[in-house]
Amino acid sequence: MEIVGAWIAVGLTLFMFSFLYKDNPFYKVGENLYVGITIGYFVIQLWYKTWIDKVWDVLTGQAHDRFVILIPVLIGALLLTRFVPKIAWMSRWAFAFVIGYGAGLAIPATLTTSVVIQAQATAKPLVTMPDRSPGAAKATENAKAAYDKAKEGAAKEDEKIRAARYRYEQSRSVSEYTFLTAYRDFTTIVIFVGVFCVLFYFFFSIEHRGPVRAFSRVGILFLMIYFGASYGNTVMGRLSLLYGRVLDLKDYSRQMYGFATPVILVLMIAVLAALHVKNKGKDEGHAA
Amino acid sequence: MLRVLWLTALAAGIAAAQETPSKAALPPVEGVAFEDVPADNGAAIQATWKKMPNDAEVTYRIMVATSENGPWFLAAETPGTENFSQDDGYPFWMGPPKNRELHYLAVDGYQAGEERVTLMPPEDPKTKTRKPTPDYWFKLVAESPAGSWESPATKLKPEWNLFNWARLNVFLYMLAFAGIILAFIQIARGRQLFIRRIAGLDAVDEAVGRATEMGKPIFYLTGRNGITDVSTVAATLILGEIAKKVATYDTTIKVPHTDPIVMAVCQEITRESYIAAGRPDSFKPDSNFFVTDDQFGYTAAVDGMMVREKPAACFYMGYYYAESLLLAETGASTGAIQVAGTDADHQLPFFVTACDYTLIGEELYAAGAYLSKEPVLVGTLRGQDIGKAVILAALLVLTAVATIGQWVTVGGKKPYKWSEIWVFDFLKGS
Repeated sequence: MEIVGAWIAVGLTLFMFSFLYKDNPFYKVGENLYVGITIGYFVIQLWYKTWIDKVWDVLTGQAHDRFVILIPVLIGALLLTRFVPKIAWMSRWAFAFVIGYGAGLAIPATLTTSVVIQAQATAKPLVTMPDRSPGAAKATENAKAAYDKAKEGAAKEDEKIRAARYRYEQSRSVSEYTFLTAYRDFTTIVIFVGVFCVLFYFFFSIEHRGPVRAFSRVGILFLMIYFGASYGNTVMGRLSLLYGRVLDLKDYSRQMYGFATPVILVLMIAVLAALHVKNKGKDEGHAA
Repeated sequence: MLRVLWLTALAAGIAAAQETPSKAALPPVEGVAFEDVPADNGAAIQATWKKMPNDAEVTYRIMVATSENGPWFLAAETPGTENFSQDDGYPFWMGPPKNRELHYLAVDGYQAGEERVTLMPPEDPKTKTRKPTPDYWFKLVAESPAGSWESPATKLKPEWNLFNWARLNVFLYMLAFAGIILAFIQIARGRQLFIRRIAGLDAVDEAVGRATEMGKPIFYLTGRNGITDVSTVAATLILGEIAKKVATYDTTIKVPHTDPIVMAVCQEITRESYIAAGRPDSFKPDSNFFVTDDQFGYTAAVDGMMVREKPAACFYMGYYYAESLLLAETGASTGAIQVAGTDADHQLPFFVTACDYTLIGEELYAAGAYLSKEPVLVGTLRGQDIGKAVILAALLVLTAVATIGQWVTVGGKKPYKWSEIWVFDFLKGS
């Protein structure tokens, strides 16, 4: 059974990879299998997770308000009126409901996460003055003592020393103006300038000329730096996925799996080469 | 006789001592109050009591019972030096006064032996019902090496609330922004409002024209999210405008879908566009079709269609995930003009790389207004711009205030933490 599984896994992986060459019958087989299986899965999920779990079980349950579930069922059923042209307009009620509740859910959540929290996190002092209060000095003193103790008591426990040092540096950066304080201020300024200029880029009601253009250019520069970093980060993630597939293909090349990878690969190349020759002959025939 | 009296007095003393073994040992805790947690789903109650002079030695315990006479279970405990009302998690307009003079603890359940019991009875997975929340009795117990004290039992039932007042600030923002937008919609009905040029959208005419000349279809994708997503709604609006041009030029448009509801909405929108363009007979309901809801199943199918049909133009509007590059790269390999628009910031780099034009973030929302010049959409766009201007102004003022606060002395504090003033608290909410 394990060998069958290995052959299916290798076959389908190579079928999908064959798209890198060009559209071909192997890819079409993989593609149609993929779509068919996922639709089948989708239907089964809908049946059990939505109809059975959320409707049937509720209706056949004992809750005194169980028939309330018929209201969303009715709204959902209105979508089916699209199949009857004369009453197809009723499906719009369902759309209105779906879009209405979607907007109702999305607006407060978007306002909170994209506006309120972001604005609150951006509005910070651009320059931080040291906190000369006795409390701050005492906190630094305590952190220093803890750091010294960590160095003495656990010489080999790097993690503990690092954590104690981190706490000490953090504490010191509040009571004194240190490199960490300067770095934090620099970050705050960069974030503030970035937010300010990027927001300018997204003004649609004014022509981007003069100072507005300058601000929006800086804004797009920030965006491009972010895109570059994000691109690199995601590509690294994708490469690790590719490593996984390649390692599987390598594993399935072994005798215990019946040399699945090399056998399927060679067969595929042979078939594709034969198809290429056949199609070339056809094309030349058409040209003649 | 004397012996009997003495023994009686001794027995009464022992009994009294057993009933309240050390009530006199600790001074009574002041201001003990048990209340329902405001603005919640009926899952918890809260206890408050005043800070006491001997707090450093005291451990406070909230005890709960389902009848006045017990048995009592431990619901929560805290050292006397922790858990004050200033950290209760509520914004300043809710909950008890924010300070370190008042202890605060919220309780949503208790430990009965090995079992954790929630105050709100759990839902029965079979009957999908929940038993009514019973009445509970709560008391506060203060314990220290010197002795203990306990408050009288208070009867209380957690209740659910219709409004979450902790989100009041968000509600007010929403009202303010809605007011601004409605005002500008009204203005846009009276006169034409300016919208700056958006390069990606100027390419729409070019793309539709190219498809007409080549006799090849246009592929329009609405993203992976459902109709409740803002970017999907924006994608459907843009589809309406592009479908009008497609209908006018009598070109073919194909809209493969991954969500059945979005497909049904888009079918309606496309039909409306064909009617608006005066070509209702040319409308094909099959132009919008469902592929599969699986991310990569959908991608594999659309990639295959692109390679086979070699579209003249591909539009990727809406929200995308990991499939963005797979789609855009395949589209680019077919030689199609590609225009993408998404607010999925992680996918934007891929569209920027593989497409001819990319609408970044909010440009996607502006696209509907830009293409249609509809007063409602244009007014909404102007309203959003005013909203952004307000946010920018607020950021400038608050940052200036916070920075100046570092240099001045207020109430003997320097630097004064301006981030603690109510404006910041109001911004933050809960």
